[in-house]
Amino acid sequence: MQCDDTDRLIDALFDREAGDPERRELESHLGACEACRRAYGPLIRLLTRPPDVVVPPDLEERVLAAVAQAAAGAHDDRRARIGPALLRFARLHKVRRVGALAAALAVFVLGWVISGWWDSRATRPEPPARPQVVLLSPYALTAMAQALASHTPTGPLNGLVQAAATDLLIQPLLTEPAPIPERRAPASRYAVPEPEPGLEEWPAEVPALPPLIRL
Amino acid sequence: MTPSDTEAGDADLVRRTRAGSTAAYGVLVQRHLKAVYGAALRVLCDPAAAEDVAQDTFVRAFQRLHMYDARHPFRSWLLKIATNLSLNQLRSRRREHLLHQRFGEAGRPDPADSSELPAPAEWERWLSQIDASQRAAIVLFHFEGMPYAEIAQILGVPLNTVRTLLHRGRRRLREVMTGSGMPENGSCNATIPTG
Repeated sequence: MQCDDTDRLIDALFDREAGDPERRELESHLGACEACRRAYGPLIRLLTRPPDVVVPPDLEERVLAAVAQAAAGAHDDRRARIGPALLRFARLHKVRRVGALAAALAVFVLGWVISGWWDSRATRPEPPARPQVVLLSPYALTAMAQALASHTPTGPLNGLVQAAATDLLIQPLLTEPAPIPERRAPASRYAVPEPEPGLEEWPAEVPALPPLIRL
Repeated sequence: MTPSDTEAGDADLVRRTRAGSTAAYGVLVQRHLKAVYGAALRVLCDPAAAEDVAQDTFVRAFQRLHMYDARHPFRSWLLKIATNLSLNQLRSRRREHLLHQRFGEAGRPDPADSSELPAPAEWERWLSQIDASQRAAIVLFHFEGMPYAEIAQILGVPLNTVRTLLHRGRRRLREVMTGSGMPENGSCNATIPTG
């Protein structure tokens, strides 16, 4: 081993990349080479045996006092956030119990009200349909009868009434009722498919089917 | 603080702290204060600043305990906070120094120059002369025994960069140490690291 290798070997040993053979080689070299011993000995000694640190005697006390102050500060912050009155209020255990009971009661009442409303909504009868009635006064009926009996308009008002009565009474009799649409079964996957265009008619000859074999 | 607190594991103490026990957190402080203060001191090379960082670390950890992932060791989480706080303080100190240089004001007194403060240990002087990222990598890897992956996560760099930081940091540290009047007696009782 040469002196130039010492630096590299020390790095390898500290990095745990070299094993016992290299360590023994380095130790024997440092034992033999005074220059390397002077150059590397103090560094190895410092790094392998760190100097002891003396903690100042009152440091622990100061640290604990600072921690206690920080803890009290955090507690004060919490108190300030919540509010002193609310904090005192929350300390009362009876209040907690009453609050829990009140919350339970409120939930029960709310559920009861909602369920009653839901039931009444489900069983409420539908209001009857209002009849479509046209109310006419006796004067209007008389005027309409006169207009129909006279066959000819006797005046502008009489003509208008006659036209309105004709539309009202006779027009529904002349118009045909609207056809009722045929109800068709909904399509299902079992329905017979519609024949394709051009295949509406079946072939004339039915192919012979093989005889059925019954076992 | 009860005997059960002192014997409980970190995960149990964290759970108790989350449930509101400040005494359980006191046990955690007592258990990890030395590691946290040591990491901050080695990265900052300034005892007063390291004390501030240690205090901030435990306060922040207490305030953000809900963010702690119990699958990882609590000590690693604390060291991560402490290292990040230390590096942030170094960055702000560097900015402050640049501002003072630019405007010609009297900057913050260097702790090493102050006659009231105790003289820094030799290793503090050595570590203070290498780059902050290299120093943090060396502290976390060699002094705290953290794996590469955790160091990469803490420093926010890829895994190979951690390796590079360690190589360069060791080389720079060796240069600093050999240039600062190492013992000339030639005695080398260092133990070579075992694999």
